[in-house]
Amino acid sequence: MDAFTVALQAVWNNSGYSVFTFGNLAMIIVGLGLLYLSIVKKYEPLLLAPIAFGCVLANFPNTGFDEPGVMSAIGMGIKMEIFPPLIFLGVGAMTDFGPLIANPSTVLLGAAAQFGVFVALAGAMALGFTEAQACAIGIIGGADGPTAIYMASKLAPELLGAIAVAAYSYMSLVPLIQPPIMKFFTTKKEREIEMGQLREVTKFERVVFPIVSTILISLLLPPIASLIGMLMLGNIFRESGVTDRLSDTAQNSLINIVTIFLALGTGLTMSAENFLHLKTLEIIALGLVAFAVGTAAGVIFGKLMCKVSGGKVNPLIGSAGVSAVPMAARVSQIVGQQANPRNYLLMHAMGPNVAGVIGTAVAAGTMLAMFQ
Amino acid sequence: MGEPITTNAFLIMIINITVVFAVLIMLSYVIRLIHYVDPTVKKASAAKLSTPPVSSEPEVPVQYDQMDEKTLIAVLTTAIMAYGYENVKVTSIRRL
Repeated sequence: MDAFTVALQAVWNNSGYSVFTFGNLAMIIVGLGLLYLSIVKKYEPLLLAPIAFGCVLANFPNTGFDEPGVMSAIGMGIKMEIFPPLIFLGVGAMTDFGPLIANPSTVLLGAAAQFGVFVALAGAMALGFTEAQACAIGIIGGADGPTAIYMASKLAPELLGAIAVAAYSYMSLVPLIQPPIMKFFTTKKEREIEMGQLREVTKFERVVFPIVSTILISLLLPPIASLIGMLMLGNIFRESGVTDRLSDTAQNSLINIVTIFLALGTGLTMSAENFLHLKTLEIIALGLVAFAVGTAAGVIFGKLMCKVSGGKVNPLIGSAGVSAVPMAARVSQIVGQQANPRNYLLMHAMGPNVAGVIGTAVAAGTMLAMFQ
Repeated sequence: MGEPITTNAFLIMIINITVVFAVLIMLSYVIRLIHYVDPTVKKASAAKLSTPPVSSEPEVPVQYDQMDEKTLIAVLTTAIMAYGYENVKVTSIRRL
């Protein structure tokens, strides 16, 4: 009988119930809330669903996830910066740089949208975050999930969970956050501007562009060589015409597998002791500021380009400089068509949209060069 | 991690945005250079120049069917739905 009691007591002492805290309960509720948003409201479900479930799993005590096993291996994939470059390989295989190559001046809109990153960085420093943490928080404004996770794991791994949740949540809210800002900073006449057809881009240009840009950017900013290199390698798979199988794998199986691991691993960092701080709310608020300022800066720069070009550029495409590909470009298209049903801005907006991916990576590389 | 280069937030902002703009402006010039040295563009232009005029006969005016806009919208909507997109509404068309 004593042995039975002792055994029962041992089971109870080793169970999660015996050390379960209100913090764990709160975070499980947060995880369930994120699951609701992803499944019912369909907010970035491919990313938020595994993040949310990882958050729930992370708040079960005594699981031994820190010990060698699949969960710790997934965590190592993030800590060792393996997953973000692999995601970029898939992103590159899915990206069409044609609109950017056809109209190179739109690259400036991708640069202008990065203002949000640095305004949020300044705000984070004002709130008491260190320079490294502020850089990781600011990159949320680039609306690029893999880059945000890459920066956080390098500069502020203790903030990875909050930064990833903020980045992916705002990416899914692009259609809600951007239109009011776009309409505020433009007149109806500007929104009605129709842009001319883009020139044809040759295969030579499509193949040479990723090679040359990889060489130039990686030599200048080596810390992001893995991100830029994988992005452009994926693009070469797509554009070369001789690696269709690799392109198909990169943009389907590979990116899906890595997305599962990356998102789950991000969720696993969202334990109560890491997440339940005032700093988390500050990060979420700063992320929103970064996003809004990035959108506004892109649109304002678009207005400048409109004036300089004599009315040939529709300022709405400036908002697509945030890297949420292709959602931000679609928002430009929708808002443009609301003003002028004959307007077709999608392909024009894809130029700054993909430039924004490169711009965010460059912003990350610059900050890594300064603070790593 | 070593000592940060500067802790002045405004300076950090200026330095970083300058680098981002400089790199992307450089990239835009690289794109233009690639277009300039593209040998396939020159071949296409040469092929157009060497092509003889099609005919010296007087052109017969071609009458094309000016499909009315409603019919055209219906045709386009059907074509898009054939690709599996449902609840599609074509709101405008721009003839090129």
